[in-house]
Formats: sequence, structure tokens, C-alpha cells
Amino acid sequence: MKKSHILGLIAIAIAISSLMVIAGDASTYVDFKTATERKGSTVQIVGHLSLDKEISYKPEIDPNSFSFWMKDENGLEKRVICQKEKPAEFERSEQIVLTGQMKEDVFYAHEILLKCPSKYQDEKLQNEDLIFE
Amino acid sequence: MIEYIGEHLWIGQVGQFLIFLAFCTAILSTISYSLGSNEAKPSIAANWQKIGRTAFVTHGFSIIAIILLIFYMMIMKYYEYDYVWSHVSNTLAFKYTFAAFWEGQEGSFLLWMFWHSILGFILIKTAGKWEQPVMAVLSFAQIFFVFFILGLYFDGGDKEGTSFQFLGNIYGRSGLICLLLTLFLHVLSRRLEGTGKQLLKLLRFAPSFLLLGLILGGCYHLGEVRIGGSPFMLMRDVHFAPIFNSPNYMQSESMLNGTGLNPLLQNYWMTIHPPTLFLGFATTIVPAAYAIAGLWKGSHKEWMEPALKWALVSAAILGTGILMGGVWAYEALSFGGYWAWDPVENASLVPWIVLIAGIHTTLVARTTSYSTKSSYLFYILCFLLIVYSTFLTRSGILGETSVHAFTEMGLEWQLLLFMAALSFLSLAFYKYRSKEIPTPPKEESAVSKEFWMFVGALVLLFSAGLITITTSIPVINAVSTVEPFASFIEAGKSIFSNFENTFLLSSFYQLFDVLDSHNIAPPDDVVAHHNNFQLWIAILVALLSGFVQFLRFKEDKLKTARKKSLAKYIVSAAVLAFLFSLPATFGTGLMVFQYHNPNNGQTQFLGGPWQYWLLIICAFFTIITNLTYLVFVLKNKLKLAGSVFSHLGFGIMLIGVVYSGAMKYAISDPFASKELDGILGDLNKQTNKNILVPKGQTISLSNGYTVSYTDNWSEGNAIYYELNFLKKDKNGSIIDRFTTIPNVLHDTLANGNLKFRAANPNTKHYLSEDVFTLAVPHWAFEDPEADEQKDTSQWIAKHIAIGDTFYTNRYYVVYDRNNVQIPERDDYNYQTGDIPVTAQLTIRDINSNEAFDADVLYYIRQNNSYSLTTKLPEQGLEFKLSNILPAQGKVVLQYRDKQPKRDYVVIQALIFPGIQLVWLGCLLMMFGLLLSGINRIKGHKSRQKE
Repeated sequence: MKKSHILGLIAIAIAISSLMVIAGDASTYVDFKTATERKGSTVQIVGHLSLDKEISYKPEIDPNSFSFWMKDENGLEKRVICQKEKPAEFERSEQIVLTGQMKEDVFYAHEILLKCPSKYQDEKLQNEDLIFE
Repeated sequence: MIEYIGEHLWIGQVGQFLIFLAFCTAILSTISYSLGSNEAKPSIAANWQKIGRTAFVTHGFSIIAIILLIFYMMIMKYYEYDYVWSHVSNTLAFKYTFAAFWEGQEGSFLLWMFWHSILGFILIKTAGKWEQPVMAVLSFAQIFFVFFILGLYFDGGDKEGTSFQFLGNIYGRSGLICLLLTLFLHVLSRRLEGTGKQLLKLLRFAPSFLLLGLILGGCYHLGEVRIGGSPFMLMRDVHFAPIFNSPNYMQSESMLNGTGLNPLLQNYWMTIHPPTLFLGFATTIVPAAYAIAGLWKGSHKEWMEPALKWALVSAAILGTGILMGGVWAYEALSFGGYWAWDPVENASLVPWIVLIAGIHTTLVARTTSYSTKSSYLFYILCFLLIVYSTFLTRSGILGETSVHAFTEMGLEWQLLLFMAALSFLSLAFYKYRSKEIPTPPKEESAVSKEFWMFVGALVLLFSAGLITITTSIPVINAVSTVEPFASFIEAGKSIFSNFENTFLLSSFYQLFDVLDSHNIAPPDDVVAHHNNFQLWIAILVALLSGFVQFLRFKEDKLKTARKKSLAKYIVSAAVLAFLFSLPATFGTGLMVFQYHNPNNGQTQFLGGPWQYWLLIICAFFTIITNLTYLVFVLKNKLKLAGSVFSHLGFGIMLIGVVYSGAMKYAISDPFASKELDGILGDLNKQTNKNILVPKGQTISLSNGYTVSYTDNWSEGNAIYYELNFLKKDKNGSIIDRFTTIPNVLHDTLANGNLKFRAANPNTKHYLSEDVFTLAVPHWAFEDPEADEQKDTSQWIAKHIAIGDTFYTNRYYVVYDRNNVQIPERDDYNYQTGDIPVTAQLTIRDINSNEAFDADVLYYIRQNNSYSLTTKLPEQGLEFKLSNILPAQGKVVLQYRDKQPKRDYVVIQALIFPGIQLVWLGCLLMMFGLLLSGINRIKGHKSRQKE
């Protein structure tokens, strides 16, 4: 067998095995129901902030935790405690991606990613009345 | 139809005209250069070349003119244009005009096209006989880039809205281009001979047909289907709001000021990083174009010389661009690090890695003609990956996984079309020539340089592949729902479901199962995921770049003497590297000899991340071998030392990465989260990095540090916070003190509240480590648009005389004296006839006896009395003098005792040990690449002279 063939075989073997590892590393986005079933294992959840419920960050008591309520994509609402400072423009976020674990009835997140509308000025433009009739 | 007032339409009309012109000339240039490349007769080929040149130069100057027009309208603040309104504001400093220009997608594409044009001009001057095929590829790419900003609309829209003045509308503009092109082609067809003449005769009608087609297609009205987003779109074309029904809309409030540049981007990095990065992106097309040209002309060796020079320069520039991004993220953004394996970062790193692989295979191929095929593939793949990364960052597909993707512009299908066209054409060229590409009959010998350099290139390709797969997870999700992939995945799943419990095959089942969910999330800890893979790549690359330097090209067998000396040499370098690594790991605390194993309670030996130890040994190995190569083999000839510098830099960078990554720590208490302590354990210690520091207080941190927040001040829309750090040793004596001044940027809202926009860190640099600090003030955590919180405290009235004292919850208040002079207050303007009385109070903290002053103003104006409220938010007190009772010699002083609003900042303080080595290593790598590139360019020139 030629060296290049051996090299190729080795390369393919490593490629497949690392593909497996990546597949094992990757998770899927879940909802709160699945997260509750998989208590104690780390999952990622996509959802929306519940604006009508309390958003609480009291840095004077604990600057490393803030809590809020989030609705997942199936409409199930749970309390979330996030192990971070409260991100800027949190109230205006369109979508939240959390990484963390479900414990009891609360989701404990250690990573949070927000999707914010890029242009809130546009709203102002839409709402401006016709002043030059 | 509305006649709008105050718009500057000419600039958009000229601009749109230039965009169409740039589009048409790119097409023309591609066609003529391609036909010229295929032409056997030199005289006709030369004619094609002339047409191609003229078309490309016109194209390049159109692009430059478009950019100048956009700058003009940005400086003049023509807010009727969406691009100006979205990126500029009245308060934006002039120096950020460039940053504002390339903040948007259209601007950054134009920047890219600008560099392509400049590169095109250079290639026309220098490429010689390669000009035609190389420029054909470049012009071909330019067609697509202009395509992205074309701004053509189809289907629907307001047909009445188009006025019929010549040049004033799109008919006029495209009619003019059509006329120009027809004329141009007509003149040229007279100068050509043979088939070219026939072709041109046919071709000159093409613009007219194109125009007719466009008019019949009804695409000259704003419609539902859009091709490309033009930077010359008007606000009223893009936004559909009621104000645009008024001819006077330019006077409305929201049109008088733009939204401005994102404050996060308002720093000098935004001025220098994008041009460098985009020059890097733009230069990658040149080696790719040479590769395609090599295939096209079927000369498989000659293309490499110029391609290699360009690849080296390109790698140096692109690498510098990526490095700048890392420094920016570290120095000026609040990401808390220089590299986070974010998809946007990966998207520019991956092509660079492939380009480096290409450079190595070309070096092999030029001397031995092994690896010719892979050189072709690597360069073309590099440019394809650049386009793919553009697709990732600009199509909005990364939305859920990246912190900084561009906003969506609806370019998905255009980018896909570009990628498909590029891949198809390069594959077609490759297929056409693949049989002819020389491959030596004999295999590379296992001790030859060419063999191991090829292995190194494969390792790099592998690294690029791994990063790409994880970064592409959102793409995989999208693709897995599309046929035929969906059925393939389903079939795979059903086949492997039988082997769910079989070794190895079960992981195939797992793979298909994950794919079938169409909902794959990136790994929970992306950084750890990438680090785990790339660590081994780095170890391999460090080893290879250490010993391959000493191998020789075309060496079949090692003679015994050389074998011995080589073995002796490599073994001693390895031993030396091991010895060096001992103080570097055990001396710094990365590794420990003895440690307490918490699992079994026993004391064990050698604790710590052994992989990092291995990596450091390999890094030292490559540093030692390359240094000795420089001294003993190159005899200190620095001119030839490009590769030595790069590999040396790589080794140094690795050491810096290990220290700054693995040993980075927060100097706030690692268990600062009281509420979460013990619940998440040490799942993610990095998140416990915030600590609250009230103004005027000193807070203890870990490692002997203390911090106090002493002062703050405003400059423009920034507020600076002065933090004083002290470091004490175990005995309590001060060993270091320093001050950092992080700042935050804010907007001031109409209700007077500050709206937090961005926090900028401030870093204290030492030779051995950096202290990175970030401060966020208390008001950043409150919703600035929310109304003031409902206040339940009541006004309490006190009848008091001068000298009296009364108590609140936390303070006692002394009424010192009255002042009847005219007070200076922001909320009071003196008018003649006013009678002001100011009650001066001293407020003392019951516990600390700390004193504060308050002046409470009462005044009489035209027989009416007025009381102004004096607020002391930090003490939570408000006072108001509501009446004066001269008969009793008393006043009625009202006060309110609220929750005090303390002034505090939440700070992060992180220590990055050895980070200077990262910068030094990266700079050395880029310097080495540039040095090799320049030497090759110089060498070529001197050979030409001879």
C-alpha cells in the first residue's frame, strides 16, 4: 500500500471519529418540559422574556445573579435565575437563548445570549404623527 | 404624486447610475478578459485585453466615485437617504465618518470592492501574461459584489411614482448606460478581426435587449422582489411610515437627526480594523485567481511564483486583520477576552488557516512538483471559504449563535448563487485539467521535507474543517430540512437504528438522530469544545514546524552521518524543551507536583492540565529548533528568515495562549454569588466575576487585592469611573498600586434618564500580566424608559426654628441658618422682584457622623410663594421649605425619607497572565509572512532586471 493511501485512511478515520465527537458535543435546543425531564444535565433553551412578571436584579445583595420569567416556544413559563449581571437592554430583547440546568421548578442559567432589535429608532419613525397635514 | 421638498435627489441618481455602470463594466470586463484568455492570435488577444482594461478601469473608478458620493452625503448629513439616517447622527464626531461608512453591509461591500479595484489596477500593471485570466476571475467576482448592492426591484410597486425626466429616473439612467455600451462595443467591433468581430457585432445589441427586458419585466418600480440593497435608497423607499405622505417630511422630528453609529463601534479600532480585514479578504482572491488561471492556461507550475507572493502578503494582511479584531475585542469591548470562538471570528480564521496550508503546499510543489493538486485546491478553497464566511455573517443565519452578526439584508440567495457559480466554475476548470496536472511517478520519501510539509498542510486543513463544522451548525439545521438531504438523513437514521447498541455503529445512529432533529444547538461550552480539538492540532503543528525545518527537499534516504546528527539534534532539542517546560509549568502554578485528590482524599503527584504541559513542551521545542536553525543553518541571514520568524511566533503565541487562557482568573471572590453558591457548583466559575463597589468604599478582592471607587466624571456621552487598586502581600505591606479608568457610553433620554449603551474596559498592562477592569454603574441595570418607581414615602412637615434639630431614619438634620442672597441653582432663574430665602441644613449620619449639606430654596414672586424640592438621592432624602412663619420665628420644612440610592459600580477585574506573549507571537508570525512575501517580490524584480 502506498504511503498516501495510508495517510488518506488515517485522515478519514480521524475525520469520522471527530465528526462523532462533534455530534456528541452538540446538543439540541429544548423546551422547559424536556429540561425538566433531564434535570441535572445542561441544556439550551430558546424563549421570550415575560414582561408582565418580575425582573429582579439586586446587585447590592448579589451582583452575580438576576432572575426573570421566560416563556419557551411552546408557551410554558418558568422562573429563571441567571448567574450573571443583568445585560443591557434586557427588557427590549426579542429572543433569549439560555444555557443551564433545571433544578426543582427553576431554571439556573450560566450563559445567556440576547437577540435585540437593531433599530428601535424605527419605531419612533412609525409612530410620529402626521404633523404637516 | 407628491413633490417632496428639501431632498437632494441628484446624488442618489448619480450614485445609482454609477452602480449600474459598475455592474455593466464588470460584466464587459469579464467577457473580454475571458475571450482574450482563450484567443490564440496575439493581436486579437491584445485587443480583448484593451477592452477588458478599459472596462475594468471604468468599473474601478465608478466604485471609487460611489464611495466618494456616499461620504459626501454622510458629511452633508442628507438624512433623506436611509444609509445616512441609519449610520450618521448630528452628534457623531467627524473622525467616525469612516467607521459609519462601513458599519452597514452596503458600505462594507463597497470597501471590499474598493480593495478589489485597487488590486485589479495593480494586477493590470504587474501581472504581465497572466493579466487576462487573472483579471477575468477578479472581474467575475466583482459582478457579484456589485450585484449585492444593485438595488433593482421587480413585481409591483407604484408605477405612477416614476417621473419621466431624462436621467432623473431609472429609465434615463439605464438608457444612457445602454447607449454608451452599444457605442463602445460598436467602436471596438471595428478594431477587431476574425471571430471576435463577429461576436462583438452580436454583443453590441445585448445592452438594448437587456434594457428592453428590464422595462418589460416592470422592474423599475419599487416592488416586492429586490435584488441587492443599494446605499442610495431614500428613507421613503425603505420605511413605510405616515410621515412620508407629507411633502414636508424632511422637517419632521425624526428626519432632523439620524440614528447614528452604534456606540460600541465608536472607537479608533472601528476605523482601522475593517479596512485591514477587508484588504485581507480582498487579497485572498488573487492567489485563487492565479490558481484558476493556471488551470485555465494549463501551465501548472508557472502560476505558483506570483500566486505564492500574493498568498504570503495576503496571509500577513488577513492575519493582521484578525489579530486586530482580537486586540479590539480584548482592549475595547466587554467580551472579556481576545478570542471566544465566535462564529464571526471563526469565519475569518478558517480561510486564513487554509491559505497557510496553501502556502506550504505551493512551496513543496515549486521545488518538487508534488502537491500541485492540493495547491490548486487550497487557494480556491480559501476564497470559497471567504465567500462562505460572508454568507454566514451577512445572511442572518447565525442569529442565535453569534454576538456580532450583521443585520439582515436579504442577500441569502444572492450569496448562495455566488458560491454555487464559483464552486461550479472552479470544479469545472479542475476537472478539465485534472488529468494533465503533473504528479511525480514516485512516492514522496518518508524522510523528505515535501512529505512532512504535506502532512502539516493536511493537519491545518483538518483544523479548518473542524472549526467550520461547528460554526456551520445553523446552516446544517437549515440544510437538513431540504430534500434530498432530509430523506438521506431519515434513511441513515432508520438503517442505523438497528445498531443502537452496537459499538461504533451506535454513534452513527446518534449522528443521524441529531441531524434529524433539525434543531441542533452549538456545544454548551463552545470555547472548551474548540479548545479540546485545536489543542491537538496546535501540538502537531508545533512539532512539525520544529523538525521539518531541518529536512531537505527530494531527500530519498538519510545518510548515516546525517541521520545521526539529525537524531542527536532533535532529541537534544526535545530534552531541552522538556527542561524549559518544568519552570514554565510548575514554577507558575499551571501544574503542581503534589496535590490533594478530592475524589479519594489522597495526596497524589503531578496535578493540573497535562495536555497544556504537553503543548508547552511542543511550543518550546519549535522555539528552540527554529532559533538554532536561524543561528546555525541560516547563519543569522535575517532576510531568509521569514519562515523561522513565523514558526517562532507560533510557538511563542501558543505559550501565551495557554497562560492567558488556562490561568486567567477573576480577582473578585470566586464564590461571590450568594444566592447560587452550591447550586451550580463550579459549572462555570467565570460567571461569578462581578463585584459591587459603593462609591468611597474599599472592597477586598482575592489574591491580596483591594479596590475602591473614588471618583466619576462625564465627557460627552461617556462617564468615566476611577478605580484604585492596591495589592498587598501576605504580611500586609503594599506591593503595588494602580488606577484604572473604565468608562460607559450612554444616551440621554427625553425623560432625563440615562440609557446605558456600552461599557468600555480599561486595562493595566504589566510585562507578565494584564489586569482587565470593567465598571458598570447602578443606573445601567434599571430600565431607563420605565417611569419612576412608585414612591410610598410621605412628606412629613416640621415646624422648626434656626438651630433646631430633628431625626430621620438614618440621619439627624440641623437647621443652621437662612440665606437671603440670590441663589445659583439649575432649577431657579432670578427675576427682579423675587424674594428668595434659602434654608441651609446640615445632615449627619447617625452612625458614622458623616456630614452633608443641603440648601432648600423658598421664594416669593409676584405675591405667590414657591418651594423647590432639594433631593439628596444618595441619602434618600428630599426637602422642601413650604412656608415661613415670621410671627413664630419658625419655618415649615417638609422632608421625605426614601430608600437611599447609593452610587455604586459593578466591576469585573480579570487577570490575564502572559498575554503579552500572545501579541508578540502573533506579530512575529505576521512579520515572518510579510518578510517572505517582500523578499520574494524583491527577488522576482531583481531577476527580471537580469
